[in-house]
Amino acid sequence: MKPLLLLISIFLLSAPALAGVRPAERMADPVMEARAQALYKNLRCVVCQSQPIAESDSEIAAALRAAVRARIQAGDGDKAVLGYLQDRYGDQILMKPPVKPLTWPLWFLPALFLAAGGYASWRTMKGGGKKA
Amino acid sequence: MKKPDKKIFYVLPLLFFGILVLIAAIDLTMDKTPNPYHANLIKEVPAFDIDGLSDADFGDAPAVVNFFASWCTPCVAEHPVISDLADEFPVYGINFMDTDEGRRSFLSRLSDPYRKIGIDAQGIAAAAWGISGIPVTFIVRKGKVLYRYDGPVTPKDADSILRLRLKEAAE
Repeated sequence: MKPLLLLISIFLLSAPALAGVRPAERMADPVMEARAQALYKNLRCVVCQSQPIAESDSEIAAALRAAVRARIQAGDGDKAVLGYLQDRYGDQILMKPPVKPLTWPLWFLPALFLAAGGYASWRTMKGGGKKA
Repeated sequence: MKKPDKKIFYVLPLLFFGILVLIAAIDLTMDKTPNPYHANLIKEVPAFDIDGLSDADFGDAPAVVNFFASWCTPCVAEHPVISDLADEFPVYGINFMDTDEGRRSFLSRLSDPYRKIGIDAQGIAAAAWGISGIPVTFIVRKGKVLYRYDGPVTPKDADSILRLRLKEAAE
């Protein structure tokens, strides 16, 4: 049991290394802080590969987090905060691309392929069954 | 798959591959900004108010806004070019996530070309301008953002792009 506990403790020690948000960035109001945390996870770090600003240690990610907090403090709703950064960085700033005509293929093509593949395999299996 | 009229199953993947090649060819030959975050999406000078500078400080004449920091090596490289520009046009500096000490030593070591400097300690102004790294240089006039240049300004680009656009804007 002891080695297992030791292992777990070692893993827990490494946990803070995963966090990009610095302790000094914490907002005084816990409700606002929770909103900020959720928004950090939805925003892409512009100099990293597929990493949200919540996890990035880069200067620009810290700058974007500061901007999120400033917008929240100014009274913006979550949508308005995201919109503020979308206006400046484009849709790619969002971790989830918005559903709109240009991104329809991105969202619906996989489903279409799944349906087509499913149909093809169903046909094949049915055909194979007849032969046997 | 009993009858030979199912050729479509052989042609379809080829067709699909052909479409992919076409999309790739169009995408690769298109003249566009390689980094999507370098596209200037803001057309108006964004509202910002940091220590030493706000959007209300830029006059009506064409002006240059330059993001810099003492820890940024390309900023050191472009400094002579920015200084030359400052002899002809008003240049405003935004000091991005720097320390007071770093900024002071940078400016005393290299010279201070800026009409005014805003201290963007947290990076809020950087986000307001939609930048993804420094140095970045903007040309503004009467509340409009006319041009954005990402990376250190080369002497050649200072002449062929920035000076040209600033003179155009002055007319």
